[in-house]
Amino acid sequence: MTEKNNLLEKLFFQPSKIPDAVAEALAQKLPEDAVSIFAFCDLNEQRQFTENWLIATDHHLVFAKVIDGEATNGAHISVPAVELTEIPFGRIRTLELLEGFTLNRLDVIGEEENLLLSVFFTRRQIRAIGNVRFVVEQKCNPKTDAPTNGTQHDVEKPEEKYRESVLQAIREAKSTVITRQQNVFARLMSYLGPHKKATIAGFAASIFLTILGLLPPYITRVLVDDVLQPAETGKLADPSFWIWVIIGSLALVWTGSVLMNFLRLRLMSFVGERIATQLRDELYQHLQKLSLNFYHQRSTGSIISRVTSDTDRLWDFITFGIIEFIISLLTLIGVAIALFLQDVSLASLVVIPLPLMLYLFYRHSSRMQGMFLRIWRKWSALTAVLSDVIPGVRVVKAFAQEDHEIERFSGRNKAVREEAFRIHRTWTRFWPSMVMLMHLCSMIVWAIGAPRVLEFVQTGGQSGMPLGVFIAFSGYMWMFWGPLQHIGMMTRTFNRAITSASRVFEILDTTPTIVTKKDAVKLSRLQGKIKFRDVTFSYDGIRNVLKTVSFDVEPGEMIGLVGPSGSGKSTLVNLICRFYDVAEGSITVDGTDVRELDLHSLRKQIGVVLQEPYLFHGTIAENIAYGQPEATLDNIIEASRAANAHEFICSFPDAYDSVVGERGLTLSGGERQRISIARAILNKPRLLILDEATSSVDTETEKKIQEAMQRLVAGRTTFAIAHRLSTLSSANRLFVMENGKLVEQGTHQQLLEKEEGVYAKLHKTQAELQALIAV
Amino acid sequence: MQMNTIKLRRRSDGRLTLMPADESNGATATPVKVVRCFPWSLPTRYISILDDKNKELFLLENLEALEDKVSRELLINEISERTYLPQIQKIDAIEDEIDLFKWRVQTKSGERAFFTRRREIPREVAGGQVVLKDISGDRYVIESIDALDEKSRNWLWLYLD
Ligand SMILES: Nc1ncnc2c1ncn2[C@@H]1O[C@H](COP(=O)(O)OP(=O)(O)O)[C@@H](O)[C@H]1O
Ligand SMILES: [Mg+2]
Repeated sequence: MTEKNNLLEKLFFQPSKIPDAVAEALAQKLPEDAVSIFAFCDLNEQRQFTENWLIATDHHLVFAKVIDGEATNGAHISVPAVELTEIPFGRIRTLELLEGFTLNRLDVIGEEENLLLSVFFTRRQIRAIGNVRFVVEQKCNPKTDAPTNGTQHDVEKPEEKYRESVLQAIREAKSTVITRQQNVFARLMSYLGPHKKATIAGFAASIFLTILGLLPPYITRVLVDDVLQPAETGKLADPSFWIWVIIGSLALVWTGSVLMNFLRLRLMSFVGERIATQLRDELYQHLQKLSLNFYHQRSTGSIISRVTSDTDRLWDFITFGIIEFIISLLTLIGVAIALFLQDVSLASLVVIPLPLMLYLFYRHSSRMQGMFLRIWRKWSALTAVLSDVIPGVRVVKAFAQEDHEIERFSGRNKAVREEAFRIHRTWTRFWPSMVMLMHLCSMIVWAIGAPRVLEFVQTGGQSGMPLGVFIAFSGYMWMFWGPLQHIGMMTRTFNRAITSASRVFEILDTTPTIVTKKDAVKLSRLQGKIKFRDVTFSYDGIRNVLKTVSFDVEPGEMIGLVGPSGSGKSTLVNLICRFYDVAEGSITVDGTDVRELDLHSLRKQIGVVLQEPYLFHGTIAENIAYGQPEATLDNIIEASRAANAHEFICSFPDAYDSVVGERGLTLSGGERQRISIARAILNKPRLLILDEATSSVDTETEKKIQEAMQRLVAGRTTFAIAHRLSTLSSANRLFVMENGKLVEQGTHQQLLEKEEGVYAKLHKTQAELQALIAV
Repeated sequence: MQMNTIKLRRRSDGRLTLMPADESNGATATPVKVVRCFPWSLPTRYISILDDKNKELFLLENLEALEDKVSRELLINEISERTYLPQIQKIDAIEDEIDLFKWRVQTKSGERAFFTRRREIPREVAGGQVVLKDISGDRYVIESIDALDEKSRNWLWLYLD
C-alpha cells in the first residue's frame, strides 16, 4: 500500500502528496476549507523545474509556491517557506489552458477579464490540472438547472485522484507499473506446480547426469594407476579381466548419462510445452475479455508477439535454461571437489583464476547485451521500412519513388551490417582469447604436475604424483570451462526470461475496464428506449469528445446522425453498445443504466454495421452467420437478399462458399458492406446501428438496401450515421452533431425551417451539388 | 490588411489578440493562437496565426518582416513559451524497464526523470538536435550529442543513434 503511494517519488521523483509545510500553511490561512482536489505544478515562470501546487478547497483556488532555498543542502535544515495565493471562487470567471510542447499554462481569469494567476506545468500534470479545472469550473458556475442524477463529480480521495492522474500515462504504456524481478520469477516458477512429478524427475535426472559426467576421468585414473602400472610391474594377477571391468563400467556410465539426458530433456520439454500452451490459452482468454481501450493503446504486433514469441521463449527457458543452470552449478562444485580430492595444492592453483574467468564471461555477456540492444534497434528500423512501404507500394509506384525507397532501405540495411560486424568482431576476439587463457591454465598445471609425475616414477612411488592422478586432473580441468561459461552468461538468459514473463503477466494482470456488474440486469427483450443525460466522454481523459449530450429516443424510432467527421457520431453509438464507459452523465436503455445491464445480453441484441466492415477468413456463408452459427441456409439467403447481396454473391464461381478475408477473395468496399449488413440483419437485432454503413455503395443499391431494411427494421430502434443526407430520408428524427455537441435535433422539416441552422446549411449545399451534377 | 503591418497586443486577461485594422466600424480584437509551421527546420518562418476555432487568420512568412516591434516581441515570446523544451545537459542513467526506458537526466531547467516507449525511437530533427518524447507527451531536446560528456554519450550509444 505504501509502496503504491510512493510510486510517484520512485518513478518521477515527484511528491506523491501535498507536503506538510503546504498543508500547515493552508490550514493556518484557510482554517474553514478542506482540500477537495489538487495538482502539482512542476515548472515556474522562469521555466525551471519546481515544486508548486494548485489546490482547490471548498471555497478557494489556492496556488502554493514552495520557496525552500538551500534546505536540501542539509547544512541547516530549514522549514521550507510557503507562499500562498488564494482566490475565492466568486472572483473567478473562467480558467484557460494553453498547451505547448512541454510547457503548459493555466490562466485564471477574473470577473473583470483580468488575469488573476498563471501557473506552469508539464504535460505530465495536465490530467491532474484538468481535474482541478473541472472542479473549479463546477463550483464557479453551478449549473442553473442541474439534474445531474447524482452523478455529480464528488472528489473523495484527492490524493489518490492526483496520483492516478499522473500514473495514467505509465499505465497506458505498461499495465504493471512496478515489477520486481524476484516476484516475476517466483510467479513463473509457480507454473511448475501442477507438473511437480515430472519436474522433480527431470531435476533428479539432471543431478544423476552431473554425477555420472564426473566419473570418466576417475575411471581413467583407476585404469592407469590401479591396473596398467601394477600390470607393468607384474603386481596384478589378472590384468585383462580388470581392463574389461573398467571398459564395462565406462560403458555403464555412458549409457546411464545418455538415459538421464534423454529423461531430463523429454520430461522438461513436455513440461515446458504444457506451460507455454497454458499461458497462450490464458492470454487469449484474457485478451477476449479486455476492453477496447486496451487495444487502442497497443499495436497488434506487440500483442501478437506476447502470445507467440514470448511464450516460446518461456518454453525454452523452462526446458533448457533452468536445468542447464543447475547442471552447470553442480558440475562446477563437483569438479572442484574432485580436483581437491586428487591433489590439494594443484587444485588450489587451478581454482585461483576461476573468479577472473567468471568475471570475463560476465563482462562479455553484458557487453554483448548492449550490442544486441543496438542491433535490435537497427533491425526495427529496417523492418519499419518494410512494413511501411510494402502496404503502400501502390503509392510508391504512382509517384515513381522506387529508387528513393531502395536507397532508404539500403541505408538501414547497411546500419544493420555495421552493428553485426561490431558483434562479430567482439565475439571472434573473445573466444580465442578465452581458449588461450584455458590453455595457459592447463600449461601451468602441466608445468607443475609433469615434474611431479617424473618424481613419482623416479622415487618409485615414495613422493610425487601418480600418472593416473595427473591424467584425471587434466581431464577434470577441461570440464570446468563449459559450466563456467554458462554461469557467466546466465544474467542474459534470466533477463530474457524475466522480460518475456513480465510481458505475459502484464496482459494477464490488466483488468478489463468494461465488465458486467455482479447484480446486473439481464435484458431479455430490448425495447429500444434510449436516453442520454449530459453525457460527457473522453478517450484519453484529457480532451472531451462528447460534451453534455442529452436526448431521448423512443422504441422503434429511426434516428439519423449527421455532422462533420470527427464530431463524435461514431463515439456516440459506441457508447450505446457500452464499448466504453462515460465520464459524466448517464446512458439508459429501457430505463436501466447501461452500466447496470448484463453486457452480453445488451450487445447480443444490438446489430452494428461499420463503414469498414471486417470479414474473417472463411466462407461468405460463415461470415454472414458469424453471430448466429445455427442459422439455416434459408435464413442466410433471406438476409443476403435483404442486404441486396444475394445476386453478387451468386455471381462468384463458389457463390456462398467463396472464401473471403485475408488470403481470400478480394471484395470491393460496397460488397463487404453489404455482407456485413446481411450479418447484422441475420442477427435480428432489436437495435440497429449503421455507422456509414452504405457509404461505399452506389445510390441505386443504397435505395434498394434501404427498402429492404425498412421492412426489416420496422419497429426497431435504429441509429444511422451518414454523410449523404438522402440516406437518412426515412429517419423519424435527425440529430446534428458538431464538435462533440448535439447542436440540433428534430424532423427533417423542423430542421430545414431553422434559418442559419447547421442542418439547413448542409442540406442547401448538398442540394446545390445535386443540381450541379444534374445540369 | 497587409500581412506585415498586423498588430498584436496582450489583452488584460493575458491573451494574445489581433487588433482590428480599422476600429471605426466597431470591430474588436480577436484572441489568437500562434503556430510555427516548421518548428524545427524553419523556426522563424511561416508563422500561422489562428483564431480560437483554428481558422487561419494570417500566415506570416517571415517573422523579421513584421513591422510593429511590439507585435514581433510578443510573437517571439508566445512562440518560445509554446515551444519551450528542457535541454538535456547530462544523462545520469537510462534503465531498461521492459517496454519502457527510464531516463534520469540533468536539464538546463533542473533534474528530471521520465519514461520513453521502447518502440518510439527518438527523432533527430533538422539541425542535429535530438528530440525525445516521453509517455506523457512532454518533449526534451539534446542540442548536440557531441557536446555531452563521455558518460552521457556512452548511455546514448546504447539507447540512441
Ligand atoms: N479510439 C480512439 N482513441 C482516441 N481518440 C479517438 C478514438 N476514436 C475516435 N477518436 C477521436 O474522437 C473524435 C470523434 O471521433 P468519431 O466519433 O469517430 O467521429 P465521427 O464518427 O463523427 O467522424 C475524433 O476527434 C477522433 O480523433
Ligand atoms: Mg465515424
